[in-house]
Amino acid sequence: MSEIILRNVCKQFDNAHYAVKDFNLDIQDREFIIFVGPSGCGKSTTLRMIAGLEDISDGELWIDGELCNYYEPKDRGLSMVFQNYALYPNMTVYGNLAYALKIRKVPKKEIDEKVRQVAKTLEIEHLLDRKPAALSGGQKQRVAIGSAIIRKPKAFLMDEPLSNLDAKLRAQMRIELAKLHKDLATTIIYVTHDQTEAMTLGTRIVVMKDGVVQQVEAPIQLYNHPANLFVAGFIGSPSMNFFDGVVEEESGKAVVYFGDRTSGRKLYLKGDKAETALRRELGRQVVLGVRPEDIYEYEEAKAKGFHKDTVGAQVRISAREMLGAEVVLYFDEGGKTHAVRLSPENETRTGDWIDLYMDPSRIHIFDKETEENIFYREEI
Amino acid sequence: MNTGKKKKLNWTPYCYLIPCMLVFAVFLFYPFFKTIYLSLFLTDKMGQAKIFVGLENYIDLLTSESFRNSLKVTLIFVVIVVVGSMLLGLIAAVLCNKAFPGIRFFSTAYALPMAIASSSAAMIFQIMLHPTVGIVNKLLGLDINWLNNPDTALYCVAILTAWLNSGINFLYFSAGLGNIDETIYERASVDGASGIQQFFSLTLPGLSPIMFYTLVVNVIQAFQSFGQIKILTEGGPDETTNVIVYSIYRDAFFNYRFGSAAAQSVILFIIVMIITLIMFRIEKKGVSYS
Repeated sequence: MSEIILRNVCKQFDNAHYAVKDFNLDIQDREFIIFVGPSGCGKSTTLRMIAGLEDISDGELWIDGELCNYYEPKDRGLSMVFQNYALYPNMTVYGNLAYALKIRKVPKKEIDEKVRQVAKTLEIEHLLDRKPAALSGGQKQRVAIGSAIIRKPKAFLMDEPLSNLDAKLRAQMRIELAKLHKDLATTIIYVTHDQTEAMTLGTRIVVMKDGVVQQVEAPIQLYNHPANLFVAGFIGSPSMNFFDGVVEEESGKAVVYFGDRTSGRKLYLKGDKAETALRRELGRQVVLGVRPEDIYEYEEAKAKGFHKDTVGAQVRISAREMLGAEVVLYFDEGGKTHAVRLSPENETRTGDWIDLYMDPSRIHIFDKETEENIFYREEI
Repeated sequence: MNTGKKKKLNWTPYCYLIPCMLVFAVFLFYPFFKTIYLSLFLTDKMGQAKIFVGLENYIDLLTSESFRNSLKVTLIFVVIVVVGSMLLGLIAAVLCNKAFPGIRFFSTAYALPMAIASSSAAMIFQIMLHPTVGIVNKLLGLDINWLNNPDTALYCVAILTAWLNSGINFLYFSAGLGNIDETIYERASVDGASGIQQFFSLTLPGLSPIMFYTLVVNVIQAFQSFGQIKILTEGGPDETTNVIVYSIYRDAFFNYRFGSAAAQSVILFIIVMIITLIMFRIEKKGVSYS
């Protein structure tokens, strides 16, 4: 059982600047929480405040009903995996795994049993006598995780643990981490800037920017219902396409004019989206957001029945990326590059003109001023 | 290509060695072998070898009470100096390893002994330890003639030397501490280790390579201490500070017994060499290079 609550937690390194501001989060037992955001957004700082490696400037940290602001790291009952693994260089793998137990004066026999058991779980039994310097990145990573799981902490804190591994190993370790979370049945707080890790591992994701929490949501909710422009642009790869536009009413229908006004590009909204857009943004400047996979060519749009909802979106393809399972086409407009994800059979080449249709049920409208998703509150 | 012929010796690389070898020959090899040569002779007052006596100088030394005393004094002196200077350097370096306001002032203060000549340090200590006007007696409320008391003189000289040598040790250890990855301490504190546990399980092993080097250098340096002894005690009182180097100086330049002095030099060389070899042997067990 472990429950971690952060209440208005702040971190100030100097008087002028907040590294983390008013961080609020209730972490339930056995959750896999991901802190994600661009570098310098305060995600690692928040994790280090939970661990006790940084002082909390303001706010409260509760672990299992105890106010822990002033507890030493060792008294918080957490364990941590560091980005650079932080293995003790003078100790063997065995010594590294055993260290946390040894300083707790656990009997030697028990330590030995546990070390061998953990080594077996992580498949590092044959490395027990080696020093960290003689290990590969992936092996070091396993030792670091092993030394964290060998005792039963209230929660695991992981600070970008996979970022030093190559892509293949990272994918493999990602699956193992998910399995480990299931087996250990413990809370994990995980910091990453890799959104694939965030989306695949997390039960909930905390998106941060400039020290402020932008949105806390389950991965699929986060993807489908981003709260604001930043989250929409940060989650998803290639990222969401944005077009400046304006919401207007046209014979009782809600229309978003977007792109160059003279081009006459427009999109008809339907149902709840139309109602919300008219009520909140009529005549206002907005940003229209659409994910690359929600844009189609005529045939598909016709098959799905929304080919009449987008008007005049003919674009010239500036680049083409064949990824095997899909093809991503890029086009430039309004000084920005936009992406479209189509099926790999698509034959469009660089330089070709192509008609594109957006699925109006999948688009997002952000207020230009507040950058908030106007549908967010209504849909969640 | 040249497999069939005998390979011609290429002299070029050896030519590059000549200047360096010349300097070594004049200032190192010649005095070294001359010392061994002299140690087998009785000499005149000008230090010229006169009568060949074989190993007699060595036999005289090893049976002389005075030389055995010198050996004992030297060993005590070396132990105090090495342990003291390394401890001082280590503690200062650990204290200065954290960033806090005024750190530069403290770092400079701890490294300062390195910049002080042993003779001037000795002069300062002489005043501090003066029986009537010295600050040490004033502060402690004692009336001890530190440098003329056979019970205290050796410790005074040794502690001064330890302090003098601590400056460079501070620098070495500071550099060593800077090389230890900061995150292993963070991990250790999350793992539950106290500061003292971290020091013994992480800091000391992390410093061991540099500590070994410092130990070797300090031992050799301690054996060669001279200036402060010459100024403070001149080997006295009652030969209690008569370390081998001072004894060599006295035998050669006061008693004009260059043969005996040379023999002592050779013995000192052998002692230092043996100790250094032992240290290198032990290194393989105790030092962890990561």
